[in-house]
Amino acid sequence: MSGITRRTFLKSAGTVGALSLLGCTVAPSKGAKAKVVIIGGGYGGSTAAKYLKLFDPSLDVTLIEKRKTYYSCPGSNEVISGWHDLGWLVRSREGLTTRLGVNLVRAKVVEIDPQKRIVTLKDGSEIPYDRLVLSPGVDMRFDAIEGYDLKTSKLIPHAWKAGKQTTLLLNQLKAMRDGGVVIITAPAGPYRCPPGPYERASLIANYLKRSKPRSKVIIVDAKTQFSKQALFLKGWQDLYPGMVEWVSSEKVGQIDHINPSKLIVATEFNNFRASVLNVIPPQKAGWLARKTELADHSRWCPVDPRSFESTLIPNIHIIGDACIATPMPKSAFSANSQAKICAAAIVDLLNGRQPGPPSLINHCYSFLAPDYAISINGVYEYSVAERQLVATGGGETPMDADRGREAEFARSWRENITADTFEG
Amino acid sequence: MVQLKPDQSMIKMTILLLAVLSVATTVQAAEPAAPRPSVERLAHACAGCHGTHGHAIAPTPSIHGKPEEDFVKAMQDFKSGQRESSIMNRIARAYTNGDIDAMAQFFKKY
Ligand SMILES: Cc1cc2nc3c(=O)[nH]c(=O)nc-3n(C[C@H](O)[C@H](O)[C@H](O)COP(=O)(O)OP(=O)(O)OC[C@H]3O[C@@H](n4cnc5c(N)ncnc54)[C@H](O)[C@@H]3O)c2cc1C
Ligand code: HEC
Repeated sequence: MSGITRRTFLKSAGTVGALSLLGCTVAPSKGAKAKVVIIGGGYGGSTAAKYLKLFDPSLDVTLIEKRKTYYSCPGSNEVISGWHDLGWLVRSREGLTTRLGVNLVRAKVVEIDPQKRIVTLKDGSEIPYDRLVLSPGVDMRFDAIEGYDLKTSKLIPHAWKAGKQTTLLLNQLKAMRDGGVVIITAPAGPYRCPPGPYERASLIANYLKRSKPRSKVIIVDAKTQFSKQALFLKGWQDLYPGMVEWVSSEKVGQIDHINPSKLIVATEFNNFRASVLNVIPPQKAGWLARKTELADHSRWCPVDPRSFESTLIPNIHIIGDACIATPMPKSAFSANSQAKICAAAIVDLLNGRQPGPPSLINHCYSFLAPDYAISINGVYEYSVAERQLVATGGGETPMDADRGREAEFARSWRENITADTFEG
Repeated sequence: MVQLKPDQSMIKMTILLLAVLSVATTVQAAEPAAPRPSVERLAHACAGCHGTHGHAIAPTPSIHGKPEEDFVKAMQDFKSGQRESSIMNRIARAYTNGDIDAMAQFFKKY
């Protein structure tokens, strides 16, 4: 552990505690570099590490990530369509260390002690922090749909975390006979990437049209409307007539259960039999956030959107999919934007300044074909009256806009967000 | 006319009256102008598409090092719809003239 021993750290943490009783947030004692620890090296955590270093190169920034390889979810629907290999989704964080001096630690964090301000790794070692950032992403709720648990997900993919799950779905599609039916179940909000299930349906249809043209895709939706609905419906009509069917819960009711051996989705009023089944279950904040009691009854983490500091436990900030940043959707773009506001606020707080008002952007592209993309976006500010973020700009791709040009910009976005987030 | 010494409650009353009066015109005018986000907070959000400090990988244009007038003109034209962009028209309308000027200066530096 760089520099500070456990004892001196606890001593200085004690000082910080005493001083903050006086009502001011204080930097750690002179000489010692402030220590910021980030858990989760996905879109949120990696951006936070990078921008903390850009804003204050003297900070001691440690990024802890449990997985050896990070596969980007953005782009994973294109891999399922067969446009790229899985390896194309790998993101490297090397540049965060080599160019910016972030300490990268590969380990699972098993415990956070908010009183002592220490995180414990799986091997028992401890890392102290002045400020902690959590960007642990989502966990699937394997208790939400009868018949769909962790074990079943090894046979019936959710593919809502990229990697093995992506390959599983891809291989099942490849093995399917022509004339088969692919069923995707979409959850109610909030969940990771609101337009994601519909992009997936489009890109599976794209694969089927090329390889198995007598097949079709059915989306069984827990919702009665969805993100970019008019644009998707128009796209399906133009590109894949008769191949993509969206079934609203208004028509068939909610999903009652899944029969995994027969690949049947049973709703209140209907049964759907699949050749390939993709269940996207409801989700919740990543395990560590819930274990640390940073989540409320909604299973997501409430934060002050001016700093992304938890409203439940001080000195811990939560960004990305795990936090509640209404009305921002859970997306890689949102996580990237939130990380920058969080980093700026941490630098302010460590220097005894109150963080100023935030400004954020989200922009989600969806591909329907290689030369056809649409998007939805929002620009967000803090409303003092509503004590939450509000959208001050944004909207959907205009109906008459050039989808080919949006597709070019969507590809460009992916390269730019990768460089901006992972420094890779 | 007898000059009344303004006391706390009178000041409060006046403020209240002013507030009530201005609600009739616009609600916003009654409140002191809320501070705008700092230029750093505004500008780093653009990097999701335009790259860190405005250094983008094409075809998204780089926006660093531009003469301020060009930057401001582009943003104002996106905002008014004079220049058509299915992406930037939706984004530019969220920013004030002051925000745009400040971001022009910010990106000029990189
Ligand atoms: C199919 C699909 C398509 C998508 N497309 C888009 C898109 O086009 N645009 C877009 O903006 N968004 C898209 N998204 C959403 C995007 O993937 C997420 O919103 C984004 O990854 C959220 O970032 P995050 O940092 O919150 O979580 P993640 O990126 O999931 O990162 C969390 C990291 O934390 C690590 N971690 C968790 N717990 C621990 C622990 N205890 N110790 C150590 N490490 C830990 C995990 O291993 C993981 O690497 C898509 C998602 C899906 C599923
Ligand atoms: C979703 C991606 C995206 C985001 C976010 C975004 N831009 Fe853009 N921007 C674009 C694209 C794409 C263009 C090219 C315009 C076109 O042809 O449609 C562009 C064009 C521009 C231009 C004109 C450049 C030129 O040389 O003509 C400026 C200036 C600009 N953006 C500024 C900004 C600022 C400032 C922000 C943040 C407040 C921002 N943009 C956020 C995608 C984005």
